[in-house]
Amino acid sequence: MNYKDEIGHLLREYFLGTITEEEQYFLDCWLEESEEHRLLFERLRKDTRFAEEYGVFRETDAERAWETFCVKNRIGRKRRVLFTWREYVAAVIVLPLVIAGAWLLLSPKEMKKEMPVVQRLEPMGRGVILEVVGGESMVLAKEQEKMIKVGNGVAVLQNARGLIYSDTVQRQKVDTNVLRIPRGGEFTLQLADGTKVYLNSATELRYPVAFVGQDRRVYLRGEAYFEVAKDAEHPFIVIADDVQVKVYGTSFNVNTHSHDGIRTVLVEGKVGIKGRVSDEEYMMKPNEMAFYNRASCEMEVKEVNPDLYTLWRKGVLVFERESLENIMNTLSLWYDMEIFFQSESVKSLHFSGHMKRYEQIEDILHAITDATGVVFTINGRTVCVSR
Amino acid sequence: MENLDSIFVRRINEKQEEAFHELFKRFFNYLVVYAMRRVQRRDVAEDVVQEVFVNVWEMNKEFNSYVGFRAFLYSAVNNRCLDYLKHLAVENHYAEVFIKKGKECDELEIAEEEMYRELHLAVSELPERSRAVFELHLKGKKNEEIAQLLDLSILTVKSYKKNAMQYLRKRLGGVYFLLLVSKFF
Repeated sequence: MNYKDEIGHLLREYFLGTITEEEQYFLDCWLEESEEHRLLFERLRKDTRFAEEYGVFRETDAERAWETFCVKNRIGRKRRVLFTWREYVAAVIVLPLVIAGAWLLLSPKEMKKEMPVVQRLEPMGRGVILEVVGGESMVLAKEQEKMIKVGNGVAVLQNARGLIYSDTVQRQKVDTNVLRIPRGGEFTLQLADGTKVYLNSATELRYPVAFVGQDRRVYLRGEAYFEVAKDAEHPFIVIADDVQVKVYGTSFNVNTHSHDGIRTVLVEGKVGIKGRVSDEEYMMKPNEMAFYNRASCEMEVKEVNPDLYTLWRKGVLVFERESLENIMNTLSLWYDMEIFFQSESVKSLHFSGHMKRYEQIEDILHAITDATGVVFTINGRTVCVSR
Repeated sequence: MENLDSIFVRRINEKQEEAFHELFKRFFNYLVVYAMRRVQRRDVAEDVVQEVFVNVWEMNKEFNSYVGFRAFLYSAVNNRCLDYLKHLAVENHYAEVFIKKGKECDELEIAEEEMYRELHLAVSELPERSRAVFELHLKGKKNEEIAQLLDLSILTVKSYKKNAMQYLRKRLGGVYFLLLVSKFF
């Protein structure tokens, strides 16, 4: 008998107390064979290794590795896509998408995993536009630090991340600037009072180069995250379409992208919010979202996880039981894509997930395909979604 | 007669995708632990194991038995770790020491590793609450501290521990029970 193959088995039987006489004999022989064997036996009794190494075991993500493996070996994908696996590793960081609803019922056979990429998308090249109201417009190219002129004797600092207005200018006539972030772009801005604004894709913000009046007022269309500098004397007011948010030093996110309404999420501090036609101001608490319904002009408030609405500024997309329609709409703004749904039913599939904002939308689409079987076909700047 | 393990190896030989998925579930994490012990770096360890699995996928070798397949995995990981360390050796004394010690892994070592692998798998499969208690315990937390951290009563902590042990005993048999029990209670 080649008992060496069986040592694990013998040891287990021994510790279990179910070892047979014959097996005990083999185990004894084995133990006597060398000092090494004895040492192992003793070590098994006084284990410390397990506790030391369990952390590594737990934190290793075999599913993610499996996805990498699939990509590397083109498993589950009929056609070769246009790039190599190395670029892909990033895509696999996308956590396994949790699939809700009907998808679990589909058999693996029905889950086609195929995504013909007809034409590769280039990362966005269009620049952010800065307009000096009543003056000129300029395209802000991404470059090293420099000062640029933004109106009546006012210069601001442009660096790799965005624009910084300084507080030094206080004059009678204050120019207004407008920043337009194209689809696919994003931008950071520091206003004259020190307030930081993260502007998401397809967003426009109108603001004065310096704040001189009673309040600090800016106008938003699109999505932005504000970290408002504290100044109790001069409330900061964001006018977002039909909604007005009044702030006294706080962080919050405003999004007017949706057709159905405007979403304001408070992260910390305190803001008062009201619709245009209403006189009543609601005081929001942290972790609340105020949803302004465009049709009924009513405001609903509920508690939310603010990460879902604000992590975009850190380049992360988080969604929780979100419809594919909404997810794709968000992606369409981030990547400047048109989305076409081949069937209505595919729109209402719901997913939860967490993904990074990659250079290439294919990475994200591949991950969604892998997890769900939804098929994406890309043609120029149009993504066609089918199942 | 074909048992589950030899069916698994046959499916690996046939390059069945699902078998490889299973390979990841069963072996990836533990082999990363195993490689980490050698290379000390998690990213390197994960790459090494990934490369070994890709190699299994790509090569034409057929494995005759589960035991042989396992042995191949451990020694392939071991060898790749050694390769990595040799690259480092120039600047790193530790690596040099390890290479000198490094040898082919024998059945004895593999048998031991396999026991630990099953233990890791079983613990990671504990029901959620029990696992949380268990993991804090592994970090050296006392019952009182665990109770406080998880907002449970000490009694409840003890009962989760008991459940965990019962589960492990059922899942694994006495050997692991013995490995853990002395430190657990």
